[in-house]
Amino acid sequence: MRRKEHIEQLRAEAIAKVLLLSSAPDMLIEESRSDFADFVVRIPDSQARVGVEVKMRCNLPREKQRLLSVTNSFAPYEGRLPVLLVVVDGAEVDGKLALLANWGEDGLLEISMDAKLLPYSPELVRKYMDEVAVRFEAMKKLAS
Amino acid sequence: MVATKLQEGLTECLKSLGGKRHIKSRWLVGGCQCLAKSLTLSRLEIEVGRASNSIGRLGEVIFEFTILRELRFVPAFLGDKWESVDYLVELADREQHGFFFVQVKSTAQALSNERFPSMPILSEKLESLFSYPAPTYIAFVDTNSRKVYLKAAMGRDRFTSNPPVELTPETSRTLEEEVSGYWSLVETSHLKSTFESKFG
Repeated sequence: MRRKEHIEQLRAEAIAKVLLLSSAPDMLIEESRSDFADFVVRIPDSQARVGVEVKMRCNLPREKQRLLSVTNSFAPYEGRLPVLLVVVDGAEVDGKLALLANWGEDGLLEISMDAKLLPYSPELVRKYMDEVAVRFEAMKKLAS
Repeated sequence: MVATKLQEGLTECLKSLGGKRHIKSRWLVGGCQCLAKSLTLSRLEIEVGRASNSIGRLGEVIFEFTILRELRFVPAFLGDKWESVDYLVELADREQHGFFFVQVKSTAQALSNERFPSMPILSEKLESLFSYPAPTYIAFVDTNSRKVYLKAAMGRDRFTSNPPVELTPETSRTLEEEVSGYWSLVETSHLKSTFESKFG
């Protein structure tokens, strides 16, 4: 990745972090070393975690194929983390979100690449986080 | 909220115990009071600590976004273990080879160029900032308006009472110029070419 693109990606990730932390201030952000998430958030009052993949809108068509292959690649083995896609546009603190993967009833990740991108709102972030936390608790019960 | 509920619970508890005349009941009342007081305090401290951490984390990411906004700088978070600085920020233009350090102070209070409530900075932290041999700044972040204000921390005798300056696209350019200007005065290339390392 060229220097300018790299800095633009850092800015996009900073925007995503501002959006998420503004919505749920108790959320903890952890760095990710995996290739499908730019960073990981730990949901407040839960042990559930979500990988956050951040894309710039201008790069989305080019990135979607790669994202699809990467996301699919972790589905067969009891997947690592649910994935929240955050798409930002330029230098505005705003964006769109989609929950790309969440825990299914069988404890595996359910991928939904057709998940519709919805405009950011704090309520939407909290809704997604609640969905992940609820499914995570169900998965834990299943495992025990 | 938690403290109020604990206090209400304690009051009820004391009411129910207070009528008893037996000395052991009084010990029990005293014990309950101490326990409840310490519980109330520790829960309060946890709540205040949580809120303060949340504001701090939000302030840091707002700073990251603001410093990245015009793509002039590349910030690197140094982690919570660093004592006095939170970020090392590099100039995006690699030709310039400049960098500076930043400590971030966040508040949920409204800040503006006209209104700037004092924010406590430990004097030993300030001294530590002054000791860095590079441009060093304190970034004050208003987490509600998502605005960032910068103040240089270059030395005790030069740390004025002037209010910090808001980081905007214009002042961001000024910041780039002054940091670049600082490093253009420090010619290090000859130091590197004559430096003899035992790890060569």
